[in-house]
Amino acid sequence: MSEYILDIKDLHAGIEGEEILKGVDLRIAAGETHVLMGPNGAGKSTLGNVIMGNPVYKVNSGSMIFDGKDLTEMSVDERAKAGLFMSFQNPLEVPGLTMDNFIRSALRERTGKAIKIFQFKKKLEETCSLLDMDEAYVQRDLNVGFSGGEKKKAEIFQLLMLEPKFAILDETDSGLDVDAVRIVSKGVDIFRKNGGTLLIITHSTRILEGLNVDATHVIVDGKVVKEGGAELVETINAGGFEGLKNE
Amino acid sequence: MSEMHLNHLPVLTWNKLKMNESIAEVKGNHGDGPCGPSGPQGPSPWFSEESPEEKVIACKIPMYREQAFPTGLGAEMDEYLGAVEVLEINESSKEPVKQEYKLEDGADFRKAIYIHVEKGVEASFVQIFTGEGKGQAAVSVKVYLEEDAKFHLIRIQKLAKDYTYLDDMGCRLMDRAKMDYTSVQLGAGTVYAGAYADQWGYESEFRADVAYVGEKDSLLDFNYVDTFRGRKSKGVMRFEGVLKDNARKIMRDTLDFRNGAVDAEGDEEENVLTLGKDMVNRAIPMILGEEEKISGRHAHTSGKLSPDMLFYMESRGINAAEAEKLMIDAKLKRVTDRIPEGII
Amino acid sequence: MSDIKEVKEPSIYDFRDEERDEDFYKVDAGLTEDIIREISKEKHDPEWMLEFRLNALKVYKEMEIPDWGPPIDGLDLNNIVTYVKPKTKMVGSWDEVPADIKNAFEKLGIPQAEREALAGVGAQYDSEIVYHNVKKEVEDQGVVYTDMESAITGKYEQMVKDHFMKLVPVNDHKFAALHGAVWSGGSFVYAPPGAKVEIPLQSYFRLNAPGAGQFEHTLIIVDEGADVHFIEGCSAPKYNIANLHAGCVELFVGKNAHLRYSTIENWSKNMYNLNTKRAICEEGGTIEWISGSFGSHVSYLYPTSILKGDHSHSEFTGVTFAGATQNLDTGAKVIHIGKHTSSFIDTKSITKGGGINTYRSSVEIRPTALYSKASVNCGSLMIDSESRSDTVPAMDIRTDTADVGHEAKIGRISDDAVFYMMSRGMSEAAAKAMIVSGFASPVSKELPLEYAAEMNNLIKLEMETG
Repeated sequence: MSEYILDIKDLHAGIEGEEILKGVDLRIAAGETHVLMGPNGAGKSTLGNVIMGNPVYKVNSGSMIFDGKDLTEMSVDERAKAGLFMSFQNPLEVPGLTMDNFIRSALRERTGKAIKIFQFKKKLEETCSLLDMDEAYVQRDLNVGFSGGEKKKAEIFQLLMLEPKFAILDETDSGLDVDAVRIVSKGVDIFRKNGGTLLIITHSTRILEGLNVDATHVIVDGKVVKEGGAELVETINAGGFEGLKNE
Repeated sequence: MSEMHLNHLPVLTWNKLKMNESIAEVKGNHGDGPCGPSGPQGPSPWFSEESPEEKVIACKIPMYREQAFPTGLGAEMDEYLGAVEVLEINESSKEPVKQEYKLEDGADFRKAIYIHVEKGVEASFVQIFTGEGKGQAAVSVKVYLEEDAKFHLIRIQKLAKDYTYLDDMGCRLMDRAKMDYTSVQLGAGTVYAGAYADQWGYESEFRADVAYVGEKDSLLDFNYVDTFRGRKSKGVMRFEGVLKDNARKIMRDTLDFRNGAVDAEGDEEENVLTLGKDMVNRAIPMILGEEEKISGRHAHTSGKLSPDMLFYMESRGINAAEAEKLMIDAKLKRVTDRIPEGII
Repeated sequence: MSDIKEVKEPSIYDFRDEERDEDFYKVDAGLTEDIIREISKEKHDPEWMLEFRLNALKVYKEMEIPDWGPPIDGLDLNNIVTYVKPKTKMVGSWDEVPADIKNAFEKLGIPQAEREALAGVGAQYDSEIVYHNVKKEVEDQGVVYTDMESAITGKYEQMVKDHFMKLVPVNDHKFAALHGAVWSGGSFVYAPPGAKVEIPLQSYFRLNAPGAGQFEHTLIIVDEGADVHFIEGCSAPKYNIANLHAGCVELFVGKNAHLRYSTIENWSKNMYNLNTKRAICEEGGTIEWISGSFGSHVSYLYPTSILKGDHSHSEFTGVTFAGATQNLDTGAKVIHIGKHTSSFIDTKSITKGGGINTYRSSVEIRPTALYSKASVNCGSLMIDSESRSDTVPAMDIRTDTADVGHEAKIGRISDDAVFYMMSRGMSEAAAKAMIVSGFASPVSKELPLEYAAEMNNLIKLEMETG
């Protein structure tokens, strides 16, 4: 058993006819918060999607071990049941399916047990109050008519309700208003304090303020070109990604 | 057994598509059912206006056969059902009139009702059909809504697999009248369903919400027509469907804007989730216009769960089979949400 | 409304040159086996073609007139002279084209294709090719572009025999049978494997004799990997005797081949246009239809794409403008057979002055057409309340792996838009014409520049009359 909850070795992946990840190595220990940075088109979102198993991407070679299990052999829902979570940049809309029904179905599938309504309701209420969200919100149809900010909040809400071991937050801070950023940061903080492991994919750093970052990885052109601690975020803030490519 | 020609398209198209009409096999003969033979099929006592003279334009036959009070299934259904029950509603009520029919094996249920809703009266009417064994249910409701009347007709059909279900509706809306029609088709192997809204009134509003689930060997045959005659009349028709196994469905849905329906607005939409390898999904959504100042829209989508949607669901731990179930429930809920709480 | 009256006002298409009857060779009105034999003899048909025609005549007599579309009772086939042949022979250059014919083209504003150094021009005068010229660069690619008469008697006879009315069988409908019996004139194109014809091949048809019918046949075969654009432009002056056009277009698109077939139809307002157009695509082949229908009294026109090969694709972009006295029934059909096939239909109808417009279509997805996609989008614009516009689209989907979307809209020109444009100094008519041109732009922007200009002129004229 690896000491890392996620252990990626020499991962090559991409879409048909184009390799986007050209040998990625990434290790994350349980309970840590890692940041994945890189310029546009470097492969950040691809990496998140490949870990989660988006069928749009094909893994050509390499390995991904999550919590002792080989991810490449697992379907998307199996990965979710194993404790993986990814926040979507564009969460999908389902008219007629309320958010609370959706989360309850997901929990039932993940645990394989019937959900006790009372406990579930209590948790919904608690989570709403933790995130300063109106409870009426969870009765709305999933993501239907949600603003950009509301969609992101709904993703964070699901993160706290589903309690995965490991969450990939994909550019969750882009295009958010101040209120949404605050709620997202709060949600992330709660998730961390409860022992969750985080991989935050971003090219800006607003969401990272006040967050205890354990490690930073910089991806350029499909490869991790630099790794470091929280201080690397500052370096990139000051100097950008230029120069990192050649190291 | 005899044959009934029904669900005629308001405008014909290529014969080889076999969409212009359908032919149903029904029990017994026209007018020999429990209701007894029909009296004069013409207008009921309150219905004194002459039927509108329909123009026949270039093989565009407004109706297969004239029907004093048009319905979706058509004139033969009137003859088949026979005598008509008359229901006068002259007082508003929050409590719906509720009819629940539990049919037994061998059932030959036929019922035709005229409902007259007085000026300014608000009411609702619920019909629920359940049935065991093998049988047939044929039901027609015609609703005449006077000025400012509001009426909600709710029909839920949960008959057993070996049932044939003939489901007919016609309504005439006068000024500012509002008709809401909610129909849920969950059972019966053979379903013929028709509805015809005749919007005479200024600012009249019609809304139909229909959910259907077709499973093994089932046939669903629809004909919904919304005819706009009054100025500023509005109509919305929504169909949420699921086709599994080798279920077959044909949806005829028409927005018919007549001359004079200035500022009328019509909107129809059908979304079909196709989950059966051998299913047959047929649709002919028509918009007919003989008035300039109108707006009409139709949309139809048909397909499986999109890969994006599936990935999103799976990423939260919901597998493909469960995701399909959730989507079916979501579709039904979009229609059942129209039913006020406490009614069923 | 069913009674469409003859308009009294002269339209811009009402001119005609005084052609005298003695210039023409006519067969007796009415249709008998003797007439067919006469036509066949005159055309120097090979024996198999005579047999084909006689069989088609039999089928024609047995078949019924369609009962679902616009009425064609104004058409008295027994009095229609189906075959008219001008005394002009085939000529090789523009200079040799008789002056009266040139004048008619000019008045119609047909672009000076020759001067524009466009490719082969086969201009059909009445039922016969009178002018034919194939540019050298097209021939150099091995592309054959000739009239059907030459093709059927020349070295492509076998190829014609293998394809002629195989896609549109004579028993398809009554007017296909009629076409099979009396067809005359038309174009034959064969593009060998890999040929890329960069300039469009063009052909003009017109009808110009009282009581004349036109039954031209177009056969285009695009072999593997080849690429062709064919443009057909139709126009005709007006006469009082009902005119019938029952042409037939058969397009064979080979593996990974591409064919674009563009049409601007602008028949006179007394024409019965019962045209049949069909294409079949092999694996990876693409057919693109660009279609503008403006003229005729009655039209039945539904170009059909059969997507037989896997990954084949069809696109249909059409605009139909129905004005006073017109009843135009147009649309498209698609039949998906191969896997991963895709089709797009995008149509616009404009109706005014008491005209009747019907968009009619069918999209069929067979059980074999796994993972197919189809999308239909149709818009109708009503200019006044005397007119009628119907949308009659059918879908028949028989595999759950198909992804089908359909959207239709009907409406009018927004008062706000007209007001806005008028506030900038435009007349109401000009503002409306501009809005309608914009509405029809999906078609015009797909046409070569001179055709797009012609189409916009047509819209402007149609909007300004009445």
